Amino acid sequence: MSWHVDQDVLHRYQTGAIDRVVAASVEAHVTECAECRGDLILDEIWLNQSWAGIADRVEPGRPRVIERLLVSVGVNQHLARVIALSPAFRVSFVLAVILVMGFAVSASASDPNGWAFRVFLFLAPLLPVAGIALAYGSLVDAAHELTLSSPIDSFRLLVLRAITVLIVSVGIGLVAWPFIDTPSAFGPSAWLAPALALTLTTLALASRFEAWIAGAMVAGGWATAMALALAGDLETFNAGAQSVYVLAGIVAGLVVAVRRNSYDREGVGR
Amino acid sequence: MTDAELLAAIAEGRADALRELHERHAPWLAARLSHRSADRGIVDEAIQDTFVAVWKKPQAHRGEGEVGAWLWSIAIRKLIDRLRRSRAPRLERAPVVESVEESVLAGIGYGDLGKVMEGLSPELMAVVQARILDGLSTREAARLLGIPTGTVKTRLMRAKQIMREQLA
Repeated sequence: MSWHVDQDVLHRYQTGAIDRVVAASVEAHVTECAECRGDLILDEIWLNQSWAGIADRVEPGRPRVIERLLVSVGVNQHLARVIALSPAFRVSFVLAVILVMGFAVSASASDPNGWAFRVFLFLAPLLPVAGIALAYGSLVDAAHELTLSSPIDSFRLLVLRAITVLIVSVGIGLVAWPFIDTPSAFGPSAWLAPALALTLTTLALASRFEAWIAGAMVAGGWATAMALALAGDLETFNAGAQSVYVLAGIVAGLVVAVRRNSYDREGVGR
Repeated sequence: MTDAELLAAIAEGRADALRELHERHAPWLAARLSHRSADRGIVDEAIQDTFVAVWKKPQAHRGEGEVGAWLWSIAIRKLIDRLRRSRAPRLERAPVVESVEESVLAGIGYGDLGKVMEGLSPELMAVVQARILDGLSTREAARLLGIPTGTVKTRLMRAKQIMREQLA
């Protein structure tokens, strides 16, 4: 640019003591002129305070082990951060999964009536649901601001987190499974199928409600179904019931796919 | 690094690039916002909102046009959002000093437009500033200035009429 704003005019503009017409000219010029922007009086303290406020909202602290691990195997930095912040890797969530599985392992050996197994079959599929439900919304998500400010849309974020939650809970479950004394008719799918169905249903409901409400609804529905089933025997988990879960999972999956654009609304799907 | 390169780095999740962009642009954006709202707290919040928004969607700038102008378009809207949210928006005009430096004005290149704008009353000038110079919609300008949209329209019409007469 061939001309620049006079320093004195610039500083009077900054303090507000300037005519509107001149101010308009200064603004038009400064918007496009890096040199004149550099001539403004710089208030370092203000700048640092301003940045600190932004940093709080965009930086979730030091990168976690999992984030660095993902980056080292070639995952995009931002994606790695979002995955690392998934509830799946929170100590509380992993502990909850281990507790439920540990309970099933220790109780099943000394429980001939299979009640411990029933409790396990009730709790295990709810673990990923809890992981998703408790991870969204400003009430519970410490990283909520990051979630809001990440350059990944809400839908992909929700699905990404659901997958990590499933991988972690199912992974721990599969490790524990051989040590659980199960009735012979049951394989790991006894809780895997309802776990998938309930997770997908939570995702589907999250397109309409806040995630924690969706999770509470699913947990309530599951508890009702279990209460009815427990009056009888373990039929809820036999092959017939399995196909119902798979069907429910497919329907919920379709709902998620169809309503994928509904997740971007404020306060929904987070 | 150019501003556009900084935006590309921000898109990769690099917070240091955002910090550099903030250092370059926050001061003048804050100064310019202060000419729209006298509430420093609200201006500071709008600045932070602006850079968080850039962090969220750096790809919204598609490589065309000045990054500065793009940042301003975000900042002025964030200011309006903040003003709307605050219970009692205190809209004060920046103090106006009588002496108009015509030489500076001419040097800055606004030329005829600058002279034409001198003929406007402060009310009309504010509307011209919001609608034409800041590029706001009628509704956004109404929110910023705290006047009804109808008033924005009539004042803009009157301002245009005066400016046309002065140009003739």
